[in-house]
Formats: sequence, structure tokens, C-alpha cells
Amino acid sequence: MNRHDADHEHEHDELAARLRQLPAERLPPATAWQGIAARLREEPRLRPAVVAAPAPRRRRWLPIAAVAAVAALVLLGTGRLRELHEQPPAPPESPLEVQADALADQYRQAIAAIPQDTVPVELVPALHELDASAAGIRSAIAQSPDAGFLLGQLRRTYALRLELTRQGLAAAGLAT
Amino acid sequence: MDMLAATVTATASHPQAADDATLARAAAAGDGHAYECIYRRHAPRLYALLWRLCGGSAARAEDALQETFIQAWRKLPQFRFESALGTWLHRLAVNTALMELRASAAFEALDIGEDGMEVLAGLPASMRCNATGLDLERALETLPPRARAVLVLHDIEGWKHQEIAEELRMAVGSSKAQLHRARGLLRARLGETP
Repeated sequence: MNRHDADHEHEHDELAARLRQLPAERLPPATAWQGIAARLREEPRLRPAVVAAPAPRRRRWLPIAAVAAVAALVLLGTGRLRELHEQPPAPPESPLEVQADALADQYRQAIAAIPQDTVPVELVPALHELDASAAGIRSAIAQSPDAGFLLGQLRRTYALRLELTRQGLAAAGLAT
Repeated sequence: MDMLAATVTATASHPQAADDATLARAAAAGDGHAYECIYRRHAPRLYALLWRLCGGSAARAEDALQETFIQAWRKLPQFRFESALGTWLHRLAVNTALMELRASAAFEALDIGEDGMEVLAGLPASMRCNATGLDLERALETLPPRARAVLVLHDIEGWKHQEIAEELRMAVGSSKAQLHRARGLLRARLGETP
């Protein structure tokens, strides 16, 4: 990344000089590292940089195939194979979905502590819109498991939903 | 863990002048303290960059910073030290921010929480910027996202048009055109004549 190419005119003007003098650093909020540390704790252990070459694919799958064949025979005997075909197991969740689930659990616990039946009527459409937004973001997370920024959007949506509910109750004179 | 504790731990388990390569090797082997040292050392530089790429949105810049360091943690075991760690992190941060820029158009409608939270937080906008270059920073925030990205990468970060074009998946000519447009808009925002 060498500075500038064939742009000598701009190189010397005042705007360019001011842009280059903008602060190179900005202190991130403390919550940034806390969030990273929390997510790292949920990450699987790192594999070493140098890993042994995996066994040939065919050999690796042979024992699994044998076990699967035996299991299939057993299931056939008990009549459960058809049942399993009809209800295929759900695919495993991505790390992002797992974090979204954890976030949703925290939100549900927080919202459960607030009496919902006394929320002012005028707030209800906004709350429904936020619920729909949260559901949309969770759906987007399921479709784009690498889009980490969606987790931030989900967190903000849940936080706003909680805050609006609390403010609505406070306006109605109810302590939360 | 606070910053002091992290520094003490890292310097206790690593050489006094723990350089990036030493810390990166330790972190690649799973050393969380070494990784926090890397974060403390590089995060302010990356956050300033992400802040500008995200148009001054603190929430998005923080998300992008977190995502950058999560991705870096995953990819560190494959880091081959062919470039400086800082350069590698810089690339990763730009890629993360631009990925959000590319994807955010599709999800923009869902993110109604951000503005709401900013209103609720009630923070005066003047608190969000440093005094130095305040007007210029604010003017940068008002630029269209792609034009802003080109200007930030070229005029502030020193990238070449070829590199920007590859990162933003556009033609080199488009990068130059966006830069010209961004400078014109910036001058207009600042009340200057081109």
C-alpha cells in the first residue's frame, strides 16, 4: 500500500494535506474487547498451525459407513428408518446462530421480568415492528451465517425493544 | 480483564519486547492474553479506519472491529508472516467493513434499532468526534458510502486505485471517478470551491 499513484495534483493541495493530518487512531469503547472476549470463549479450540495430513478420504469413511450400515439394519428391524426419513434431523446451527440464540434467551429473560399487559397502546405498533425486525434479522442470520454484523443489529433491536417497553411503563407510572 | 492486567500477563509469559510476530505465534497457539495484547496494540488504528468507513456510526464501527478480531483469531493459525501483522489486520478490517457495506443494502431495512438507540442514548453529536479536524470528519460522514470508502482508502490510507478496485469489486476507472466525485462533494460540504 504505497501512498498515491499518478495523483500529483491532489498530492499538494490543502484538502489532501488536511485529510492526511486526520487522527490516525481512535480509542474503541471498552465494550468492543468485552464482546470479542465473550465470543472467543464460545469459539472451538484452535488447531495447531501445522496439522498432520488427514487420512485418505475413503479410508476415513469406511468405519463410519460400516457403523451406519449396521445402524440402518437395526433401525430397519425396529421400523424406525421410515420415521427418520420422514423427519430428517435439523442441520447444525452456525456459531452466529448459536450466539443469536443466546442473545434471544437473554432478551426473553429480560422482557419476562417486565409486566407486558400494561404497555401503553400507542407503543404497541412500534413494539410489533421491532419484533418483526428481530425475526427478520434472525432469518437473515440463518441465511448468511458469516454476516457477523447482523448480530450487532439483533442486539440493538432487542435493546431498543426493552428500552421502549421500559419507557412506556415509566410513562404510565409503573416501576420496572 | 483490564488493560494493565493484560499487559502484565503478556509480558510475563513472553519476552519483554514482545513483538507482533511473537504475539501472533502465541495467539495462534491459543494464548488469549497474547491476543489481547495484539488487540490493544492495533485496535485504535483499525477503529479510526473503520469509524470512517462506517460513516461515523459508532455501533457499526464497533461491530466491524469485533468481527475483524474474531476473523483474525480464526485465521491466525494460517498467517504465514509474509506481511506485517498490522498490514494483515488492516486488510482484514477493510474487507470486513466493505463486506458490511456490500451486504448492508440488503439488510438496511431491518436495522431500525441503530438510529433509535442513538436517539435514546441522547449523546450530543459533538461528543462523537475529536476536536481536531472535526468539520472534515463530519463532512466525510455525509459522503455516499462507496465514494467515502474510495476517498478514505486512497487519500487517508494511501491505497492505490488498483487495490481499491479489487477490494470494492469495481473497475480502476470507477475508483478514480468515485474519488473525483468524493473530493468534489467534500469540498462542497466544507463550503470550498473546487
